[in-house]
Amino acid sequence: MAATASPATTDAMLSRRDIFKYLAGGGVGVGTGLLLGEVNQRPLETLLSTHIPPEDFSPGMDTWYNTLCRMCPAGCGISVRVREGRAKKIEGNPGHPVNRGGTCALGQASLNALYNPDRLRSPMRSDGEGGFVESSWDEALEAIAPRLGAMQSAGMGGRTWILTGGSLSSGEEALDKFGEALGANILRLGLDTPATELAAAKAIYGFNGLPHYDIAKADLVVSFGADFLGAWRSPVGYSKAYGEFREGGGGHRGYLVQVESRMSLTGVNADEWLPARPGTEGALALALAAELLGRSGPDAAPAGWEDLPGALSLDEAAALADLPAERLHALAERLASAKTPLVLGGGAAGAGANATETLTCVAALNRVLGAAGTTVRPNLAHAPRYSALSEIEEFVAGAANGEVSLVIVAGVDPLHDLPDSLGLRGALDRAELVVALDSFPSDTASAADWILATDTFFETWDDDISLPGTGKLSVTLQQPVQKRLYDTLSVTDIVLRLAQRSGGALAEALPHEDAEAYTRSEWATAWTNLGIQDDFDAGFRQVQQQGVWVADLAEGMADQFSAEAAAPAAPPEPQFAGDASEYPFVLHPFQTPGLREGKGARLPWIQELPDPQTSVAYGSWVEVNPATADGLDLRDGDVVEVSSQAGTVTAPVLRYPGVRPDVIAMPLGQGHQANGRYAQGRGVNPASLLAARGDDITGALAWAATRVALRKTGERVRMTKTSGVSRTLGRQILGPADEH
Amino acid sequence: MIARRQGLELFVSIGVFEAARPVIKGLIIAVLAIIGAYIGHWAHGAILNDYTPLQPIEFSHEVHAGENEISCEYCHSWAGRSATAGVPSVETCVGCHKGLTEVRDTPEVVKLFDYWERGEGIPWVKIHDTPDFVHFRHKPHIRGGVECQTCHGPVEEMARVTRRVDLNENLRMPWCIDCHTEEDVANGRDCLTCHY
Ligand code: SF4
Repeated sequence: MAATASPATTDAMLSRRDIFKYLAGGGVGVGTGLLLGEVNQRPLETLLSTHIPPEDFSPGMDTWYNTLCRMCPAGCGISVRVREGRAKKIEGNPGHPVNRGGTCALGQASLNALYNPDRLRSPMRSDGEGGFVESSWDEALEAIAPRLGAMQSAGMGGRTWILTGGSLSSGEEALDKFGEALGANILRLGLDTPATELAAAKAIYGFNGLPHYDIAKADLVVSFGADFLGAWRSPVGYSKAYGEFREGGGGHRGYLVQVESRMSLTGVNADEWLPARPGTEGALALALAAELLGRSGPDAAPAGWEDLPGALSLDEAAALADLPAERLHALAERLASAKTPLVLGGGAAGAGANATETLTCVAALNRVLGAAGTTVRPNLAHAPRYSALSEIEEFVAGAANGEVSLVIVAGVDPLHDLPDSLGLRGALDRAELVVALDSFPSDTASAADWILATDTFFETWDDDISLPGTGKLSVTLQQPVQKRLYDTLSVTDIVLRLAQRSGGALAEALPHEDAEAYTRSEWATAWTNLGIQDDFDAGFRQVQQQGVWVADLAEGMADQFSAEAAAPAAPPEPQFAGDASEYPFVLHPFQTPGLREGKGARLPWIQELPDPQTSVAYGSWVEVNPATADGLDLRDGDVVEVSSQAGTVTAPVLRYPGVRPDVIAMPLGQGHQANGRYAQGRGVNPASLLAARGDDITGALAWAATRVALRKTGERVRMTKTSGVSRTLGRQILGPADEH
Repeated sequence: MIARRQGLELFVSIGVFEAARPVIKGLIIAVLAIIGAYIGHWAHGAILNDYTPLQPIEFSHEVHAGENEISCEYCHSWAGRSATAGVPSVETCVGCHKGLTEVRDTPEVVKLFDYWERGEGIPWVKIHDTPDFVHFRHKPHIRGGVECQTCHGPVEEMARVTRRVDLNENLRMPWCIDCHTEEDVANGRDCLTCHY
């Protein structure tokens, strides 16, 4: 070929050299392709075998376990989907009388606690410089138990203080027994406790426990401050009931009136929202009660209630509460004609300085309406205990005098949840030894000498009586749905081990091997006390399957109202900490459905979840009425300094028309100093603004009785929000064009 | 041939293209290289790629399933019950090997007991996998009498498990559909049977 062609032509078109070039090009291509194929392989995946598989282990198949949600005191029953020995998803237990298959966002997100990267994985010892070093259970128990034993035998148990919550679980019971055997003091702490409600129920209904409110049965609900669809008591249970209420559980579509100074999630859903001046709710309720008594005549009144001394007329009450009088008259009309009315009181109305009197008037209105016994019933056995401020003060004073040797903090975070003004931080600093039982380095645990890493509720045994009541006797069982992820123990396990190691009376009081044995024995005892004849083992197995034990109330128990409750006195004028001239606004702290008092902050799903009303995520904000904001020249995102007698925080303003012009509202739950990467340093904590002021009667913390001042800092931030502007920008979407 | 050459000659010798000749040659080389790369990439997946990764323990299916005739479901015991066949727990391995003193000191068995003593699982490297958009379930296949080997190849002959390339081509949707059609599987051709 080359021989016949002229050299020039060959060169021009396809020389040998060209062919080589083309071949080389193709070859390089093929090589690159092969190489690419090699590089592009699917990444190596591993199939990690189990070491010793759990009994129920079958890869690819899920098992559902019924247990208890411990994220809030509502105590919903949940079903946890477990695959390959790991909890994966939470649903509500459909057979549970409180939540009937529902859960709230916080319950859903509780898996974030189990798998949280900042969970404590073993006992930790303080290094004395603000840090912690890993330790072992042996070392930890050895550092604590001998002290306990010595104190107990020397009769100096009173130098120990146990700080815990107020639930009625078996685990709490173990702490009680422990404290009793030691002679220790127990403080039951919480910000929003039902203490005032308990006192009011005792005064008016005459039973010792929280009432069970049957919202589903009502045809009219008037709620004084209780955000029962958002974060009050049992949002899930009440939401279910609310659905039935709206669908006509009481005969026709239920009508909802919400009386509160800041529009809550329940307020948004209400037919009427009455922004009463904070602290006047009791006077309003009493005026309504007097009006109804006046209409029905003295014969219909409960004995001794013919006339309610100090009750205002509707017009006077309307003036006091800063509400239009005609709306109060209309409300009285509705109450008078309702067949199954129900009045609720709670939230900020149950947390002023006159809270017990307020809630007593609310309960009295129920009694006048005939709701007591129909839509209000006793929630038997549920009388949680909480410490009054005076007890906390006693502890703080004791620590100041060097009388506190040991503090055990079990599962509560008072340094975050309670006001700084109580002086708890200083008291913990002064105590000789502080031991925190927590699964996170919470604000309080971070101030301890030892943190004993606890299980999450997915990993251990306990139980609880649901806070909201169900009209039945029901106790929910908590059981491990998976093996422990880390070297942790439950609070009960720790208490049992400490008792065993200390010996003496402590070991005698708590002879059980572990939380499982303890919980079972508590149930067996209860079984016997209740006179249940059935075989316990079989019965308990059934409870384990169903997740909850439910029994009907014994005959007549549902109607245990004392006949001779005294008529309520008029509530005193609302009192607030801080002078109105210096601090012109009343601070209204509120709980969002996700964060609550702060337990949600460590869960990334909750941080990410926008607040349902304002759509703000990941931070704090200050709600200011647009009229007030205009007066102070504040736009959305303007950072303001909110200060009270007790402290100062800074946060951006959110103009919110659903708050009274003389009230400033702030969400609780953020502003942690520690507590893991998701919570730490995010937002601010309005609890630090609260004055150490108690309710007049119970001494429970009055968390809605502080006045604040606002100051514009000049700084501006963009809030993380999912909605744009709340104005309609002249588009006449809702009603007439607004003026903006 | 000659005509073609002349055509080419004509093409490249037209004055306008004369100057562009090296560029055209370069282009031809590039196109050839790209075609080559496609061929190479395809060949890598289709012909050359038996997937035989090293495992943390040199476990031989040839010895266990072949010589000793241990049935597949003895170790992969969930195949007939669950979506996943599963790998045996370390406890399962040790259960037998505790009694097998004659191989106790072989290096691979020593590794096994090391995992056992450390309380760890063995991170086996996954060989067969379907993409995340396919929900393959073992249970109906095993219950329907499909042999493990149909998809996994003659595992009992493999000293080190390999995903053979011929199977690699097989384990694709047309193959599944063919079998589902042949066997007249209920809902076997519905998209949602596997993609949900
Ligand atoms: S209401 Fe409370 S108990 Fe119920 S699911 Fe939510 S956090 Fe859990």
